[in-house]
Amino acid sequence: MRAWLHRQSFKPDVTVAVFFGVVTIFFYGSILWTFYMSMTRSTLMPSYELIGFDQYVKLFTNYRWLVSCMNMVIFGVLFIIGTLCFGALLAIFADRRIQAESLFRTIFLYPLAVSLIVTGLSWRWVLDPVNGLQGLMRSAGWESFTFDWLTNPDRAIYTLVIASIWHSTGLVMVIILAGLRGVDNDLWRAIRMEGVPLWRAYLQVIFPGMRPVIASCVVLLMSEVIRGYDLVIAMTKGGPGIATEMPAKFAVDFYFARVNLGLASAASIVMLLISLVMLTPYFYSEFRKRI
Amino acid sequence: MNLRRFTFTLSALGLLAGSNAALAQTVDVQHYWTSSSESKAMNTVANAFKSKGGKWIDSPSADFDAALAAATSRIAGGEPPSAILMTPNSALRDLAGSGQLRDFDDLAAKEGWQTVMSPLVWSKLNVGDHLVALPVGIHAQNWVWYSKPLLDELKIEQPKTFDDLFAAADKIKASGRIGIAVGGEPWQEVGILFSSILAIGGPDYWNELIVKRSPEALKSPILAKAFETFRKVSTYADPASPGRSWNDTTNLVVTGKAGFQFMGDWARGEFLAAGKVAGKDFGCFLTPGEKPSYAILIDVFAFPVNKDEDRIKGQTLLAQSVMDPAVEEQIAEVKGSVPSRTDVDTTKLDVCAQLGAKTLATPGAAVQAAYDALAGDLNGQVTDLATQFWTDKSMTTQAAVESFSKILQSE
Repeated sequence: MRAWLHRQSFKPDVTVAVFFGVVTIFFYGSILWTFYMSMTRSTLMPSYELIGFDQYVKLFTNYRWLVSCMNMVIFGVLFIIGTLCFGALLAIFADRRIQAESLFRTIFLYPLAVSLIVTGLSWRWVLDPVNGLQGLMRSAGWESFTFDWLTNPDRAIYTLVIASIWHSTGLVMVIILAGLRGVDNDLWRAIRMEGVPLWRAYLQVIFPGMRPVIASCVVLLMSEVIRGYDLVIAMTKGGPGIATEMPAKFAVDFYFARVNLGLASAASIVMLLISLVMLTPYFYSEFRKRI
Repeated sequence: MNLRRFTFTLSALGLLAGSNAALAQTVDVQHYWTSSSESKAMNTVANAFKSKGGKWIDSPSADFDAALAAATSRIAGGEPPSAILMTPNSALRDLAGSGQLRDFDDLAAKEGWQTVMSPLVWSKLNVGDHLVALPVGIHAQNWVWYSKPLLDELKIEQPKTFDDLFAAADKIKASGRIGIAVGGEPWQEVGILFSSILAIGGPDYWNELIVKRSPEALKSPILAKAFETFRKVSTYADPASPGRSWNDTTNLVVTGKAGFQFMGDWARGEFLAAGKVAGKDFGCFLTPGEKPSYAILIDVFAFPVNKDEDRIKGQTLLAQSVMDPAVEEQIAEVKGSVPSRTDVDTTKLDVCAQLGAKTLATPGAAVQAAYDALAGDLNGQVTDLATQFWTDKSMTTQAAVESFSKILQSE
């Protein structure tokens, strides 16, 4: 048998076929099953009787879901822009051949090694109005110091942005730094000869040439946004009230705590569609060039 | 050769497992009782079970939702736990409805369990005329707890109305402590809303509103008044309230950092675990209303269908251990609940538990708590609304009442 296989020499095909089989069954199969469930009235246990798109109607009349989606947009935009700005800035500093570059690189990359749960807990402690920063400042004599964003329903979402920027900036920095190191020396020589100010050089020459690198960063960060669950759980549990609810948390809550398989599946399918819509521009711009 | 040795090992292991099974009666208990008073209560059950010769496998989860999620996926995956700690809510009805739960009709008939339970409790344990859950203890949601030394220090009497309560809370606040301690989690907040509705409307109105969901009850001004009371309570919450767990919040009252807490009587277990004595170190009363009312929440064990003989015997043994009057009394003592059997001696329990047992026995006072009474996802939707109203001060009472009516009429 083995000798026969060897003779046929189609091992790569076999490997690939197995791989695709697994992906098809467990990945696309699960998606199809979830879609099917979203068309049923399933609660704790799956039921297979189709009822059409009722769950989607219910989903989009559910105030908490709408708040979750809105939060994802606010969080996503601020987080991606913030992380890109800070990451790019740090990458530029590192690229200017500062002293002890590798030390700083390690320090800034370090948060990425910390899990989101730990990140969330630490930031919750820091931002806690009684025991955290506010309490510290007040006990040090600054009585009027107020920083209660974590417990303020209008501001709590920004604390999530702060924590996740802290977490992901290092990653973006390293990726952009790698891109910067790949810039041709001739280009730098030309910039120097022309006497272009440094900020204009980066903004108008270097970064536009690094579009694929930045696009990869954006895609990585987007997936963080859509998956956003652990950080919310560790920091705010969706509160105060429903001020920091996210779609992923909505889906998990309705799968388990609310034992509503149908509605949770509908939410998951909508999340999948949102991801596809968000990623389409990227795929479009990336693949168009090659064809 | 290799294969033969492998099958030999396998069969030897099989024999070993088989012989074990013949000796022990095993239960695998999926539960979420992890706070100090809760784990004491679970140990009481476990010790009673072990002393009867059973083998106990502990499968704890962090909270109720996680325990139920774990149990559901284990049932779906064909490795069901022997017992799940839960409450008789829609999940229990779903599990029983899909034939996943073992019924105890025979054992109940033999031991005469129906005769020693109040009809309301009994009706909650049955789904489609089958007994599918066994009660561990009865809790009630509409309690208020207070720190006795703190009230004595400020010369405050135990409040008899909501106005008294708010006046007392103002005094406590003025003395630099927290008037009413609240843990800002949605389920804790909605508990206060439900307690207000029950206190202001009384048990009859409650049954009309929550159990029957009648349109007339939804139009009553009582509802608006309850929402206003709920909003008023929210003004006493301290800045660190959002996200705080219920037992950390109870601890504020235990240590005299806060005056009052609205919480079910599982809070009593935390006072007891801290070595406090009811009537001396802490006090209790039911949310003040004209008629006595008691919104009961029953902790139950549900028993998923198991195929293994050893597991089935284990379930039977656990059922007998849980229903043992002595065990029920011990659980009530450490956990803060009231025994679900009416024939348990309650004279040894403290003043708070006795008040609970007395109110439970008062005709017409006991009602189902909303968590069990509201079908499907209604309780969840009301919880979302309550937490939104609690945190968003710009939301008007009228808007809240309208959303509330819409939710209750949606199913």
